[in-house]
Amino acid sequence: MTGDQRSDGELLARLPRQPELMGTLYERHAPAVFRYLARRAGPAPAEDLLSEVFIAALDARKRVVAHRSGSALPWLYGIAINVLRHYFRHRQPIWAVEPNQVVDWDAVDARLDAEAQRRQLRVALCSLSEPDRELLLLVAWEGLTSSEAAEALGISKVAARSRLHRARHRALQALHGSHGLTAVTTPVSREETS
Amino acid sequence: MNSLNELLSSTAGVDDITPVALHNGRVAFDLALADLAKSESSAPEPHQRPAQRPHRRKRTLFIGASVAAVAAVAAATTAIVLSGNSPNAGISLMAATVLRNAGKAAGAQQGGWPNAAYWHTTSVYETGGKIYHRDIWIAHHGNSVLEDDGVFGNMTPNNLGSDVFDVGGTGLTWDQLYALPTDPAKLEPVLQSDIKGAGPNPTAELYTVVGDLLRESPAPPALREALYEIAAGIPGVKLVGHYKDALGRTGTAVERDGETLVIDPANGELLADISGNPKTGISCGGGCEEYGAAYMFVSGGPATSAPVVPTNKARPGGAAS
Repeated sequence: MTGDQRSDGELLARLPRQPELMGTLYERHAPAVFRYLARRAGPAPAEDLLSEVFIAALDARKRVVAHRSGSALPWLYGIAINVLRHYFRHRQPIWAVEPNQVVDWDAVDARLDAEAQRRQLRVALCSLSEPDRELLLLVAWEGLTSSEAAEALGISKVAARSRLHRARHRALQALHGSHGLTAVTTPVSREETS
Repeated sequence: MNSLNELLSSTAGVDDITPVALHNGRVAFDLALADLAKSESSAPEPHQRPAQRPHRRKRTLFIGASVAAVAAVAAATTAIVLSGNSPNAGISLMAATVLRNAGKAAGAQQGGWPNAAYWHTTSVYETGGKIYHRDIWIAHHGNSVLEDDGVFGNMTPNNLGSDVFDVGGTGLTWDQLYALPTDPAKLEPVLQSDIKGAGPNPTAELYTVVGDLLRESPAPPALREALYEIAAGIPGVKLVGHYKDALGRTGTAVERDGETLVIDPANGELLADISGNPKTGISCGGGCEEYGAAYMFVSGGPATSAPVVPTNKARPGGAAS
């Protein structure tokens, strides 16, 4: 851990003129950004992509505005989404790529034991648009509030809440239809429980 | 029975990053930070005029027009001038970092072949949705030899005549290639001078020249490092990212005006170069079609001899060898 005691918000405010402060943010947040990447692309690509996220953040630092939560993570996740899009678009021949792909399903499957579970999760998540799916996963996997997820995705808080509700509903419907579920719970963001 | 919540929770867990990977990422980031400090301390180059695709002088193209299988060659040749609209952005920090790292890796390799008899390159390329094989022996002295079933229709050796390495409007002999300075600051003005107005503009042509000297070339490690360093400073070169070629190899791709170079970051070798879409043709009027091309370089190295060319094989210029 870095010895710099300043908050993320203070560092982000100084970042446009002091790009070296990104090094402090790397020390603080690289493990979380790595997990974000590994959940979607698998551990080996995540190792390669980690530095790309922070290098892209260097390029984007002049446009950063700190989230009111004070955490730099929503901003870094937003950059990581673009890095992942780039990765998925170009790991295959350019002319044969699914647009806006940001999840490697094989990497997700590897974390589920049963084939039936894999099918269920795919059915549920594939019923969502890519932005709605990412919103749901930022809350469920990364533990962001809907407000923080909104920042990562560049949408308003109101839109994020509305879309999160819609995403849950649609995913549950798909899951229900695929397996005859009768009682289900859905991920709830931290701010909604407070 | 699993709820959505349980399914998502059970897929949220991943292993933490290893200390080695964390360190490696930090090293890559610090390199980029150092480059940023360097680039911000120097004035940016003004933007170039609107993009035109560079006319690359691949050897395939050079020999193509005068051999029997003209149609097949035309497909490969025209691939190089497919239109593209990528804007000339400034220098991409990420692309520059990748290129500089590739240069360092290339420069650390063993080699230097000032006295070799031939440079033999084996490659596979796709154009018009078809795959072709290509072996070229570039002669230090005397005639070079080419086997290319995309050009000749089969892999029979053909005589290329004496050969040179193109630098814009200048052809360099093997010995002249080895006389080039390996200090990037000295090499770049030499290359710019040798361009002699070739290409759509000097910047675009410089990127083309770097690619030309990296592929099918005995350029020594120090020269390759200098070429990558020069490429890192060319405005408009962008990082594409990880790229898996048709041979299943993964490299890091950079692109300028639709010309993509795929580099093995471990050793700085050029794995592939791609222009446009090698599968689908674009009509260029009058019934002609232009195809992209994807070249994948399988191996390259010095050779003491080249295949014997049958005596009835014509030279590309039309005269019998």
